[in-house]
Amino acid sequence: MLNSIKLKLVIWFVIVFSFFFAGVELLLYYKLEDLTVKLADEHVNSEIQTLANLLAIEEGQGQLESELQEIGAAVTGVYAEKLSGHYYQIVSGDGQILVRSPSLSLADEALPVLKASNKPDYRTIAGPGGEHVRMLTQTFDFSIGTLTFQAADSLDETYALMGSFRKIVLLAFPAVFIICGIGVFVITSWALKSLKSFTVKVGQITEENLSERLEERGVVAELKPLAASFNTMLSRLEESFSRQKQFLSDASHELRTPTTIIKSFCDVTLSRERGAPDYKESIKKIGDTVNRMCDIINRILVISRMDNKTIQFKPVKIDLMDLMKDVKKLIEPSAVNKGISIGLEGKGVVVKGDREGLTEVFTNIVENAIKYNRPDGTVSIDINEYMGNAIVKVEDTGMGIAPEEIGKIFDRFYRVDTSRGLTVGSGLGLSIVRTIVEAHGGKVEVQSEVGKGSAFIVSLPRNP
Amino acid sequence: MRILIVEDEKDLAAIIKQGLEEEGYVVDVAHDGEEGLYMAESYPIDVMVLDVMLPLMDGLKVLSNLRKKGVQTPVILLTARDALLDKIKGLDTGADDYLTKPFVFEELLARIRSLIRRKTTVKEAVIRIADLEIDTASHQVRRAGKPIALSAKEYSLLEFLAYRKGSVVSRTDIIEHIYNEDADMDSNVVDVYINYLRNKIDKEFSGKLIHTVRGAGYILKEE
Repeated sequence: MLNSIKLKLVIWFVIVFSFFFAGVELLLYYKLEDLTVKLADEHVNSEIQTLANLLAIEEGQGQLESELQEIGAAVTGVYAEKLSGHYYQIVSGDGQILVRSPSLSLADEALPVLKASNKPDYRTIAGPGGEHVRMLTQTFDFSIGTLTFQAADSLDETYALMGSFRKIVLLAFPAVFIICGIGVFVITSWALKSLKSFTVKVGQITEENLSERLEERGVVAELKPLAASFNTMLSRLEESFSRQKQFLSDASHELRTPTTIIKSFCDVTLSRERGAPDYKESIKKIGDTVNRMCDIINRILVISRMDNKTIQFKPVKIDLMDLMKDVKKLIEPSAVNKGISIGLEGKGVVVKGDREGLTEVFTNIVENAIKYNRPDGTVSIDINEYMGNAIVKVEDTGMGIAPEEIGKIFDRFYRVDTSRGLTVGSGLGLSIVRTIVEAHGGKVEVQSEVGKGSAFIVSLPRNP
Repeated sequence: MRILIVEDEKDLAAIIKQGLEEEGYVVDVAHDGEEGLYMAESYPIDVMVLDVMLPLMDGLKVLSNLRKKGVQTPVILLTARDALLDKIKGLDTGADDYLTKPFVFEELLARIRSLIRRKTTVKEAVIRIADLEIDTASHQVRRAGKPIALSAKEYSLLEFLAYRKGSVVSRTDIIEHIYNEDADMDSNVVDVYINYLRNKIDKEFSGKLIHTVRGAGYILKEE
């Protein structure tokens, strides 16, 4: 459940959206604060300007002193209310508070006197009523000397506004969080619907209908490459399945013939009472056939292991001449029986490979050269090297292979339609030969002329 | 009865031949399709046991060639394939029966007997002529309820006559159906065996069953 695209999308979207939302709110909050403070600044500024202008006018008429006396009492409105949050005071050059607004004087309070210049000095301080105030301090020059004007406005309303703004945002946040989460969930569900239907389609393909393919046209663009790779994979699976099936059917077919022979020998021999020699003969034949079956089974096993890559080749340095001498020694007796002579020429070439595997390869090839030879024929083996490869050529003087058959002789269970009655063998030998040679990075080729003979040419990379 | 086996596995052909011969059949063997076709055309074969996978010419081709030439010998196809399509193809090509390897030898024998009966008027494994009973499955022969012991050749001859009961059978016919191609027999040997048979079947019983048809051959029938 945790490992789901939908959930991840929802989580990521909610996280990103939350950050975005919080950022926007913070920005708005500080902008708002800035704005309200500026408004307060303008307000205190205009207050001071009014006072200064008023005094300047009075000074022009020579009534500055009396005005300073009156200005405190003359005001009405918020400045006349005790600790209303709106204050002003005028301080003389020597720090004496000359004038206080009634809001101050009624409570006998004063704004903190600051050192000032003719440049406006805005700051936020704790006011006399315990409230936050925005205070402006600025000096103006008059005939009686430099006067410091101070005015302050409460920020508490602003702070209250900011507070309620904050409260709204904090309340809205979880709601936004939930709504956004649900929204993303719905959207991703909808977006992933095509993936679901695609999954259903893929799920419908089993080993029974491997030949079916996913329709690539109706699929959404994002899933098209997936559908294409699925189809490629299905093709490969189908091919491998049918190869396995073919192999199994061929293998069981190959085993049926010896089974039939054994069964027939049993049936016929047991059908009546016989003497010991008859039983002996039957058992001998059954034994021979069992050996043949074992041979077929072993080869089937070798091939299936090579298919599964469970056979590990142990590469060692091998002199092909030595190997061929061993092979020749092994096979010569059966060649002599048919009156066939084996010739071995060339020079020793060293390759790197698996001794058992390569012995199997050349035993198979030389055995074939004898099996399909004419009586009193010859088998000539030549070992040489050419362009960094060891070349082993095994030539026979047999019946040859028809051109249309050459392509098939390395196929599993393929047997050349031979002359009378010659069908000994499993039809697996050359298939094993090719597999082993290719596993060594080499290749096998066949040249043949019907009636004259065949040549099997194995080339293997020479050991450097 | 003369049977032709066409089978490329020499051991298998040999053991089937042995088994059939022990059953009193005369057996010829061919090891490839061309030889099989030649023998089926040249000899008066009663039943042909034909393998499908053969060198030189496969079994189905042999069969279709035979049928094209009008040879109606009953054929049992023998194959390692049991695919339905192969069976259908085989039967449609003109096979009379089908046996999948590996098979039980008794079944092959029963199918051969069945095909032989189909060619004749006999419908049962036991052939009856008057009080003579020939059990073609167990090879037991009785007359008037009394068992009669016959040699293999005598039995073959009697069975051959019995399958054609009521019809005249020539000496050549008899020779060709109770000896295979390896035997070079004078037709006089038939007269010798007929004599043996008469001694065992007719001599001690009332009513002769084996009759000589002058200049034509022999006939097995009630008087």
